[in-house]
Amino acid sequence: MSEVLLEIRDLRARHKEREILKGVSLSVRAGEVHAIMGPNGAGKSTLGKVIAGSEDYEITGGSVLFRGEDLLTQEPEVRAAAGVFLGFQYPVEIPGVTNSYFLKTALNAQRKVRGEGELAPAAFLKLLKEKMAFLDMDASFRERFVNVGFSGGEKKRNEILQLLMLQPALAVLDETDSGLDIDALRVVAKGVNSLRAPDKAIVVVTHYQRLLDYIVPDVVHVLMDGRIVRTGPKELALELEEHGYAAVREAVA
Amino acid sequence: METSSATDLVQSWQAGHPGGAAWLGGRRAAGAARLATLGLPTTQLEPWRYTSLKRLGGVAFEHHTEVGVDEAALAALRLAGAAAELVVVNGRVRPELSRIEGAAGLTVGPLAAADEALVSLFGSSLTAEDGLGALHDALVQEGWWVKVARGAVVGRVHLLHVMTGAAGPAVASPQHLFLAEANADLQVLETHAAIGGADTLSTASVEVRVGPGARVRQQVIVHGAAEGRRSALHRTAARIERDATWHRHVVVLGGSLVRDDVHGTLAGPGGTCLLDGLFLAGRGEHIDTPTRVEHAAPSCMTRERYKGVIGAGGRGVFDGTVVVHEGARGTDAIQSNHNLLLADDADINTKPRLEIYNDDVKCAHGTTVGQLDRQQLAYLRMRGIPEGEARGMLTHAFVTDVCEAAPVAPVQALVEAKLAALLGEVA
Repeated sequence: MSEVLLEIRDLRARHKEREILKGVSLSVRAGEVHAIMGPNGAGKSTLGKVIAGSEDYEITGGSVLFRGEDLLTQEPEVRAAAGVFLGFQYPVEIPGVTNSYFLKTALNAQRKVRGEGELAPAAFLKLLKEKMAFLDMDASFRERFVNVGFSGGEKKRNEILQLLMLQPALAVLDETDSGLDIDALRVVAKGVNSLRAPDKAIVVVTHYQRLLDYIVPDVVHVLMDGRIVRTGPKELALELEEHGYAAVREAVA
Repeated sequence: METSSATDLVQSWQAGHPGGAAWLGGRRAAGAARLATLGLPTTQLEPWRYTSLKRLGGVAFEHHTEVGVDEAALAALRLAGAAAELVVVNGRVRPELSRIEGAAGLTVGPLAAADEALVSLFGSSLTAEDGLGALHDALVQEGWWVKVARGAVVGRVHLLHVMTGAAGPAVASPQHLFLAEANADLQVLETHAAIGGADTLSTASVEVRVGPGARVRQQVIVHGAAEGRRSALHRTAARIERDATWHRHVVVLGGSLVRDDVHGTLAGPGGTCLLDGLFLAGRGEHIDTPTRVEHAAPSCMTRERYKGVIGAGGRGVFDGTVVVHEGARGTDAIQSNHNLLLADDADINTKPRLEIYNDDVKCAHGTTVGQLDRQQLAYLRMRGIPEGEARGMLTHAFVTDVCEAAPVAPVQALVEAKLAALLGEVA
């Protein structure tokens, strides 16, 4: 069996007074693709944010280990440099910071922590051009401010660009498919699939089965009311599509 | 500073410098009389509500006009390739330090050599109704005038304004005139610096005349001081004629007390007034940037964009008014003031105002005061950028648009150095 990259045990978290995660346990091995599905409000986005280090949530119990190390005590930038990436459902706009500068700073900051030294400007530009071409992104996006004035689809594509530039070991993609037309969805899926490798893992968080036609998972989890209530093979996604979350809710009640 | 010490200052100055042109003597006498009536402004007056001249302290300022100046420090401030570089030290015009390369249609000279037509323009748009204006008039010294002839296009003129406390606490009150005749085009950089020594106080005033169809791009950089308390109480007034454009861009990099008072009058139809401002205040610094734009003619446009970055223990004031007079139909004015506070004890007072005495106008204003956006900060950190670096990036990003709008000389390096100091203080 391959190495366990992510080990979540009985994770509990709350936002203000509301408990959102009520004991989530999950284990993801290198080389695997997991899908986390569930209705709105189940805690899917919270799970991704807690893994990435958002300060909006208070952890009230449980643990998250990444390669055996406790992730919850680490600053978000330390987690990123270790290889954890969260693709945002709603990517943040940053006026005044160009995409290119942002990516270069992020990549070099991570490399520095890993003792790899900065990437030379020419090498960085070559890499960036290559990844943008792969994602059918116009060159103008290099010098535009991060996500400012981007359409919903362009923002998601920009998240995938960051993913490909940073090459994390663990990618958690939060509703990366929402708001995408079928062409954009194909490009995003192509980007995500290109990251699949024996030493990497991907966790796709989604409300709809549609994305999973393009990013085929090894394991599907159903998250409901802050807990994982079912885990199964990829066919579970089709079952959910057919019978809906209500059927699962009844079955587990 | 108390009114009594200002009055003493005026008396010793006027006693010691009785000479000069008759009109100058007249202006000084009138200023002294007004000062006696008005006294120096106090925070009881609305325009001075947030800025107290008590910050000047009890320092006994004197006029040190015969003073040497550090050549290396001066050289660092010079502007390469300027068509003319006009130097003023402690309020005195210094032709031997100035360089006039010349350009077609450009004439420059010291105030003392100005003809009557120019003299009549000096300070004519300045609203000297308060006690500070009276003090300035009472102390008024020399200055430079810059004139661009009808239709001429002149590259960059640099007015290099230096205060030095090398010979003791120094005060200066120069005045200058920039005149662009019809369809002329002038770019001018105004540098205000304080080099070393004791405290300094300058009350410079600048008159700008933008003739019909002309364009004046006036960039101002106010430096802080490495030593000594630096106070700069400056006023600029511009009269913008029909179809003319005035773009004023100011960056205030520091100073224990800085007030950059700007007054633009759109006097003819089709005029444009563009005001950009950036003020950066650190510990013990107080920067006040009052602006007033009067739409006195129809179909004119104002775009005002001021930004403030206030560090720990710093204070900023924005008090901006756009007045749309009766008959100024088709006015299009947008005013904004956005402020970034880098620490809990950073302080800003912002007061944007529109006074509209007319309908058929399009006016808007907006103001924000806030700290760095938490979501943006989290996003950068989750991509691996350490918190301190992320804060720096976002702070630079906040000022980028104003920096890039600098029309005459780049300001990025100066702004970055100051921001690094402000961020270092809060790290």
